[in-house]
Amino acid sequence: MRDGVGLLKAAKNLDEEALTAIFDQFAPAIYKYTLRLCHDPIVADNIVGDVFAQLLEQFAAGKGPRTNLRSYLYQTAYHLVVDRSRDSQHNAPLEVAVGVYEKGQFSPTQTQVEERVMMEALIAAMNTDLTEDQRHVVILRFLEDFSLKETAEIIGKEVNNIKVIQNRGIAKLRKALGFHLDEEDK
Amino acid sequence: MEFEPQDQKVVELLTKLKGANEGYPSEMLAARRQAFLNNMAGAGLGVGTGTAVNRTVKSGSGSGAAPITAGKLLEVALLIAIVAEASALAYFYRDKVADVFRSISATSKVQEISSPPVITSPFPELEISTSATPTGTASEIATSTQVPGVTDDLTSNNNDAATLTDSTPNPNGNNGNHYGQTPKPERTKDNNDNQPPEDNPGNGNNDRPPQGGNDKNH
Repeated sequence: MRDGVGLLKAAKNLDEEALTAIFDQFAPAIYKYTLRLCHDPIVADNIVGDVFAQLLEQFAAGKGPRTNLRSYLYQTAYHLVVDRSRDSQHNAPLEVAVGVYEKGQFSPTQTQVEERVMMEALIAAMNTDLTEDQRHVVILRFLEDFSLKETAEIIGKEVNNIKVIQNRGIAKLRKALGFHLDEEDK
Repeated sequence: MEFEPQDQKVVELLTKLKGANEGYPSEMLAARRQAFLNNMAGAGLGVGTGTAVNRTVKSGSGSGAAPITAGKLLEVALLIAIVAEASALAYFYRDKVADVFRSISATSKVQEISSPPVITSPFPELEISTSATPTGTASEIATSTQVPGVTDDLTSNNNDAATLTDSTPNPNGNNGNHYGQTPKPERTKDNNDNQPPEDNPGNGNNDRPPQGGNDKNH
């Protein structure tokens, strides 16, 4: 198993093994990230294809990422999602996200009812209350575990700006979940 | 990163959402992977011969310097082949190539000729030289007035210009004087005794103005 730098170096030389390893390593994560943003499995799958096709083109042209491959892939996916959302103002129905949550690793039978209600409210708030930038930052920071610097690189903004967007997004979510949090505190 | 207690609860809920999403469906992932492999094969073909040779030699020998040398050698060989082919084609089609160059050069000549003509009228110079004439300004001379002594030059110039611009008249059977076909001039009878020799009848008095004619100055 090669490390990240070796893998990237080999992929730049269009090494098939390295490229396949990169796909196997990052495709599921990119799919999940894209699905969180667009809520459509078909669109998410297509964006994954586009992300890796662009990566291949960049490598073939002697370009592409030099250090942080993961950030690069997420950045490409982010731009593709933004482009698609501009083309078609498609908002996923809330049922998709909630249904995904129900079918996921969280089993509703094993969790408390209050927590499930809060989760549903959180998903709804993320889909409706947050701006696009806030949703991207929140997802990248807390669901994909990117640092502030990496998030800033992916979105193309300053770190301080990302901090502000993040705090405002959290504040909006807190406001949307205020009732449930207060209820839980009681 | 520190958050307020209320925010901390939101952050905790968000982290719980990490695993809430479905994974990549296996059929979809397999199809996407296959498509990526196909893309990779296509990109490998388009990368270039050097890279392909690099890969081939690399997989065969495993040495680092050999693939570079082989790739460069192949590139040089391809370059030589291209140059040789181009020169052979140029040799076979040299006539056409020459025609092309001729047409290009002819076109440039036409362009030179067809450039807008600069109107160089002889009148201003004449006006300057004849400015001593008593009548009016130079512009009047140039337009209409016939100044004695100047009009001859002007008309002669105009006639020259006219003859230059007129087309060649129809010969009407008279092709002009050629060698051996020059008509002999009629002999004139002179009063004086200076007759030209018979073998040279046109010489002599023909150069003189006829006496008693238009020579009123004497």
